[in-house]
Amino acid sequence: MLKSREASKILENVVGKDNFSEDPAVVSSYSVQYSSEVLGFYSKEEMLDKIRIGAVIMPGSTEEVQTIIRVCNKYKISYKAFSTGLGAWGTPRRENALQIDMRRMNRIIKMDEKNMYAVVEPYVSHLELQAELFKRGVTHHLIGCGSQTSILASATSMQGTGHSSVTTAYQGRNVLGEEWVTPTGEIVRWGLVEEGKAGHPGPGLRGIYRGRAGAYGALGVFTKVAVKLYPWPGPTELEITGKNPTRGYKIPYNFRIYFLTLSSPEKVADATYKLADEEIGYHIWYYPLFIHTQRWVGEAKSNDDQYDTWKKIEAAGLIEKSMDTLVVIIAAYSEKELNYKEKVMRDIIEETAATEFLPGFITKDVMERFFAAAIVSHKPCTEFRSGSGETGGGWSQFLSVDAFMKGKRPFRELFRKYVEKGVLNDYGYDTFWSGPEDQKAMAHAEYVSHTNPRNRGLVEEHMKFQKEANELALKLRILGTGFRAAGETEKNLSKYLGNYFNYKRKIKMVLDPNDLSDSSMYLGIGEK
Amino acid sequence: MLKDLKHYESELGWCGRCSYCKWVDLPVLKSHRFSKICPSIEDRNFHAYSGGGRLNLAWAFLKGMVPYSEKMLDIVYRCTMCGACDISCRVIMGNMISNNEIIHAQRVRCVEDGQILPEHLVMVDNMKKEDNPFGEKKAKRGSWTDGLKLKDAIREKVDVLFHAGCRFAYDEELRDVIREAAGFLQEAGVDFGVAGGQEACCGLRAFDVGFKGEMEKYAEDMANRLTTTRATKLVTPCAECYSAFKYYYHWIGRKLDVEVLHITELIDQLIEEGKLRFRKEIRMKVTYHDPCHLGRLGEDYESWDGKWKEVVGHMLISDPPKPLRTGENGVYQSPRNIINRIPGLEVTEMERNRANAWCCGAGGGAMEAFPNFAKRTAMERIQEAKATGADALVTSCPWCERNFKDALKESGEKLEVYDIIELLRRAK
Repeated sequence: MLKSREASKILENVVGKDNFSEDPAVVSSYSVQYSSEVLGFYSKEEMLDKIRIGAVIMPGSTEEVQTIIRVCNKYKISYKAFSTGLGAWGTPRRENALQIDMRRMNRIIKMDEKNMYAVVEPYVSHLELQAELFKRGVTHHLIGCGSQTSILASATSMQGTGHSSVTTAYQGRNVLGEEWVTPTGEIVRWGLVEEGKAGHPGPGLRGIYRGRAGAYGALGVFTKVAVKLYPWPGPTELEITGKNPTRGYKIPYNFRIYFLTLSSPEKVADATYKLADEEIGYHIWYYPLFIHTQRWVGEAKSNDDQYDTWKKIEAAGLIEKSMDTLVVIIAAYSEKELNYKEKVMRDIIEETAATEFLPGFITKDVMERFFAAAIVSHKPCTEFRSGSGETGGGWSQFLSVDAFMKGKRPFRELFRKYVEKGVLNDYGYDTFWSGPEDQKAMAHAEYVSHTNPRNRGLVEEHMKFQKEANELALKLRILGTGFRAAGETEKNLSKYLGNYFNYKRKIKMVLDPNDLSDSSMYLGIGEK
Repeated sequence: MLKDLKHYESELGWCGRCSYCKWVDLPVLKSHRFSKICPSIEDRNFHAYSGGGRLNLAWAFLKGMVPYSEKMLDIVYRCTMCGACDISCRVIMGNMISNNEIIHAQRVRCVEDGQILPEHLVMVDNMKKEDNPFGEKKAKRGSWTDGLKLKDAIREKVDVLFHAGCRFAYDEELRDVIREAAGFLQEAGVDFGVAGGQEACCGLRAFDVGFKGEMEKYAEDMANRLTTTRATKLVTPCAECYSAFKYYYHWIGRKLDVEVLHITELIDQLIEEGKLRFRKEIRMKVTYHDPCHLGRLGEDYESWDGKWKEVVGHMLISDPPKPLRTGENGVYQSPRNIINRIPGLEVTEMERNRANAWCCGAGGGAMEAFPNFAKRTAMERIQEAKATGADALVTSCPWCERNFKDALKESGEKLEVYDIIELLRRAK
């Protein structure tokens, strides 16, 4: 419940009684978000008790958002907005705060395939837009955490790497305009968001409101975003194969998929650079064996299947041979182009001595399931299945592929240490994935780690592992900005990067003088 | 076996809030307009009204953090129990979370605690008094057979027991459907009979609003009736009854020892065998609505009473392996086979079909307690049907047909709605 009854009344009047609630039956469902515990707060058992949201409000327009923020400033109510709401970073951390659920703002405002941009509101999900874009022969950058998530959220407030980052960058790069209600309630518009007006680039504010990693809701609320579109080499409708829960897409004639094993992490980096230099990869990604067995190899319907597949791979003696892998999709607009890319691919395979990944396991069904996972970011949340509703992880981006590959061996040692202590699930060598962005300009790398989230002791050990993993990355100078690093870790990182954290603090102070837009994932909990 | 809400406490904590429960299975999503799957959250928007939100609420409830309130009951009961969230969740959580069971267990708990909506109480009282949810006289139940010269399955041995279901038996506007259906079975030489006035409700509508004892009673009643008739097959034209007999009875531990068929399955078979022919051309474009209870809730139930064990550290696997209900094994093809054989009929699919079909809005007690919500849900489906350019919406469940017709009447919009049997009659 909000502290001010008067504020509650006003907020209810702003959006109508159907769109505002302080009832425990409503607000309690906003307390459950994955990753809360491994970000350092509590075990999953304690989640409902620890996150006590005061009220939930669902605005239907930018003007309503503006009024809500002004009311929050008047009555000193802390608030945080989320769009589709996935992850601990969408939930306010202060007690009795206001959760702004952007669900009612769900329009695709514009799709301009000629000028290659689309304008959407917060609740439009990647696949909703993509379904419409396929029909127009274009695509957009779908982020890796799932096509059910908001486009606007990753574009304005988070990182947003994805399977096709090698060709479609990370989401922060794709912003061509936005509509932003600042923490003091001003509406700022720039770029291609203004309906009916000729688009113009306008002043670039990305460095202020999102930087590389996004402000995670600490700098007001974004109500529209214009994102860049890309050519789509595939058909206007993909043919569905398989059945729920393991559907795939028939691989179009002009696409090829390569599952490769390399002999070392350095060779993975080498192959990635060669592919990027030749600009032939539509998708280039390193996945650990754990992800392959979870999502597409074998039956891939449940943990039972994943475990069975793992055992079969083990029996085939392939675990150790599947440590350093790469999956590549190539796509072409003509047969000539496809022939050329296939030839280059063969040359790179030969030069890097890449071999077939998991021989005997990569069937047509597996390929089709993988294709759906890669093209429309299907099923990444199966992490929750392996982690009993939880997943931890860390590291980040803004570095190079070889920098991350350099970190793989020491990370494996650290990971094994916590496996042997009985803290982490044992997924073989590591659970670390990475891929290049913008051809090879940058790279994203991320690991996932699982424990039993309902055991407080294990969660605390898991947190220690994360801290050590971040320290290791700092030591190796391979920790990127932002992702799961708010607070102490980021401050330490910032020392090596021009003390940029101080600039974040200044930006926050200038834009949000009352410190109401929840900054727990931007500056850290309790930080100002 | 039906379990108490407390039994599911672990599962409640496994939800990671991915929100897959709000969408159709994502690879099949075809447009922004028809991308959603859950009528409840589409109506109310707060997360608590979604499949995942219901798990969160149940968890908070079990921890004593959410007391009974008007809002709490609104969330619990404003759901058509269509089972869509159950199927969407499989994509992510595999066999780990039993959404449909949990949602039912929450309602059962509410009823045990006396937290009942008055409209539901009236319906259940009607069932207790007259064995149907409308309060119509039990004695009138068999009157739809008047003049048909059907076998009385209670007195004569038959191979097939034809169960009309409450909606068809009492809804005068729809009653011709079962009269026609019975005629087709006679024509094909099927040895069937009806229980007439002895027939009773399947009990699913009571169970859906939390009255588990009522359905247990009706399951027992049906089992006894089948024993009396010695029928080997149970055929019904009602999708809800079909789901009760095939799925829910098995779930509550009263699996029927006969083959359960929906009328569309039997007719499809009879056409295939050449025992029924429909040669008259119907010049019309139609689209078929998959009733939830024939589709994703028409899949057989496999009981599981195993345990979760940790492997590779803390990853949970089921022991013995827990069956995975995917919604893919419902009755989808038979109705399509039938309409595809009708000469002249142009058949088109809605974007959300089969296991991803949008609910008609009639189930889960929504029609009784939240009629506007039920009609809004129906109108969403009608808009989807219209978007295909179809002249008519065809279904195979009287509850769907009733709700579509009522919604159309109230809205003033125009679209023909038929049961498949009605189309067959026109093609005869």
